[in-house]
Amino acid sequence: MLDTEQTSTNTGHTVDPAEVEKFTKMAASWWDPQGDFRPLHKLNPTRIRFLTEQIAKHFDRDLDSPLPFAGLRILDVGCGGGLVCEPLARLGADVTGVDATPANIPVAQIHAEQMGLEIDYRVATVAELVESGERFDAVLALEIIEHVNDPPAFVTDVVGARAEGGVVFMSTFNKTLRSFALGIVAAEYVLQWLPKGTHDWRRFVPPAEMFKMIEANGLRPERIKGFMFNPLLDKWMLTDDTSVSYIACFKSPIDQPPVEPEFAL
Amino acid sequence: MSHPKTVQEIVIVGAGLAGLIQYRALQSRGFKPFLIDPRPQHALGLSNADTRSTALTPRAVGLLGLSDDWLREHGQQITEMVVDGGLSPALRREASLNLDSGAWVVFNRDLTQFLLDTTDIQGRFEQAVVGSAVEGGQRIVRLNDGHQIGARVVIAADGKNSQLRRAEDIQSHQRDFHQTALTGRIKHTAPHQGRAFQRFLPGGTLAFLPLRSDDKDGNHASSFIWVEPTSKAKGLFSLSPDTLVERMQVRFGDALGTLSAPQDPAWGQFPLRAHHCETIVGERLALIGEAAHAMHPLAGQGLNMTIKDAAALTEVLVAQRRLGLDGGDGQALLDYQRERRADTARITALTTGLHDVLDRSPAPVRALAASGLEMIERFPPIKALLRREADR
Repeated sequence: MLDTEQTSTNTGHTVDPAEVEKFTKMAASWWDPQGDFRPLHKLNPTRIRFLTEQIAKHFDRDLDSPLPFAGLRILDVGCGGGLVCEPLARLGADVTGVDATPANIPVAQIHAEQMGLEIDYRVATVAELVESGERFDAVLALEIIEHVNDPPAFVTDVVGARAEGGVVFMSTFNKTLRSFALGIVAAEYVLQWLPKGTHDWRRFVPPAEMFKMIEANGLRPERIKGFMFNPLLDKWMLTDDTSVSYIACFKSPIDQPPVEPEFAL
Repeated sequence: MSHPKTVQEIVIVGAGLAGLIQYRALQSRGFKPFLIDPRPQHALGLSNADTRSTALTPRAVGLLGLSDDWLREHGQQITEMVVDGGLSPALRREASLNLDSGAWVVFNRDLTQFLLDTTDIQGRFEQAVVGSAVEGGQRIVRLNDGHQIGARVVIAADGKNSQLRRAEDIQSHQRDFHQTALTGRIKHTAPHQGRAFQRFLPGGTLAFLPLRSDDKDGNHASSFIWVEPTSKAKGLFSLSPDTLVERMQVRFGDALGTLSAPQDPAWGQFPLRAHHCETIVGERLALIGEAAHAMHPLAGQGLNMTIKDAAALTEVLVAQRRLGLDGGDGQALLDYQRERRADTARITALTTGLHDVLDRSPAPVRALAASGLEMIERFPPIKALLRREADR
């Protein structure tokens, strides 16, 4: 979705009608559940469930109350069309979405406006935000680390954007034979869920490697879940099997007393 | 030309029973639905030509939130279901079946009134929807006064001939049974003791559902549905109520004593047509009730299905809201469809199949028996009949 190699510094302040027309068409594609991003749409409710439950638990919010995330600042790194930003904004969070692909930002902005949501979308890298001193209660880097050139540096930046007492979420593919078979061969070649070449298996990050990078930055894993597609229900589920892809929540050991981890590496 | 436009959270088109049930279900979960109906609001409960009654399953009673007090005042619980074949030799030998249903029989009219009395309704009335389109993340419906109303999701509860369904080009598979039903209330001298009757006659069906006895003269009442081939029904159902009752008595026998027409019969007739749709959702559009499916009234499942539609759609919208997701999201509406389609198709096929079995056996009987439909298993006399027919 995102490449950290920044190619443009277009800030999007002066958008001409032809561009808007183009972005509107792209917005339809980002937000078309049957379009190019169909797999993400299918996955979205599942990952949003993990995010919202963990955020609610960490900040002691009640998901059954209106605007449960009011007052929380959340950063989505590699926000794409805003598939994750919008639900969090609807739950009351103050959401910032950054993407290094300039074309994604107006797409996300137009859609949020249609939805009546206020989201701060920017063409930026997480490194730039860290440098400018902005900090967030929750920092999300979902399905993004597999697209960056220097994962350890990227993790350092993501953790660096976390405010004190905040949480970090990462999700990506594991580096296993199963993830190669399902994540690349099946998804790109057999089922054609994704364009060929979307992912490079060599860039996938096993949980142990992810944990090592996170721990090097002073956080520890709080919870990890695997994603599993159930073809009978045509739905993604959260599972303890992290061999294909996974999502994890990280916190500072200072914020919470250490407990027995409920996962195995 | 620019028309006034307003935005609502959820729009429901059609304030019949389906629309009112959906409205109430959504409101009870904290949504702010908005109704649109061509009738004036004060007329929704009046001039109600719906003489049908429904046997609400215990689940439907729970979903509607009907209190025990209301049920005791307006409903009658079915204690036993008597199924027989009248003159049909195949069914005649079957003993009656004890159906422990716990279903409550209520008049659709009373249910409508209950919903109107207990629901704070917001909407636009005396306005028909003349068009609808998806634009800027909303479905916009256009009313005949030019007003436009946008919502993240529009629910079509506009009945069998749903304009919204047609406008969306959602294919509906129609099945005309070439039968007409006459329904209404009938008095009888013997108490029904909570018994319902379903009598399968050649070419038609006569069924009675027990009603709460409220007659000071010691008369007892049931609701009837009398189904005849349309060709025959035209002449028959235009006879005077007294003559009709005589004919009914001949067909039904004296299990309920002497039958008589109430003072103001207000019986209604309607043609029997079933339909089902390949899809019950469109872009930011969900069909419920008869807009999505209509079935043969044989098993009395129509309104129960509508109630399950409304409950399933409400749950999907609640789940979406809890995750901060857009309620009109295509994935969510597909969840609703997945939830409802199997159940709807099964019951529609079953009631249609049941009709075929009794109308045109034995050929369709074999197909139905082979399909192993669940309700056949639960319906011992039908099962026995099928077995016998299949052996022939």
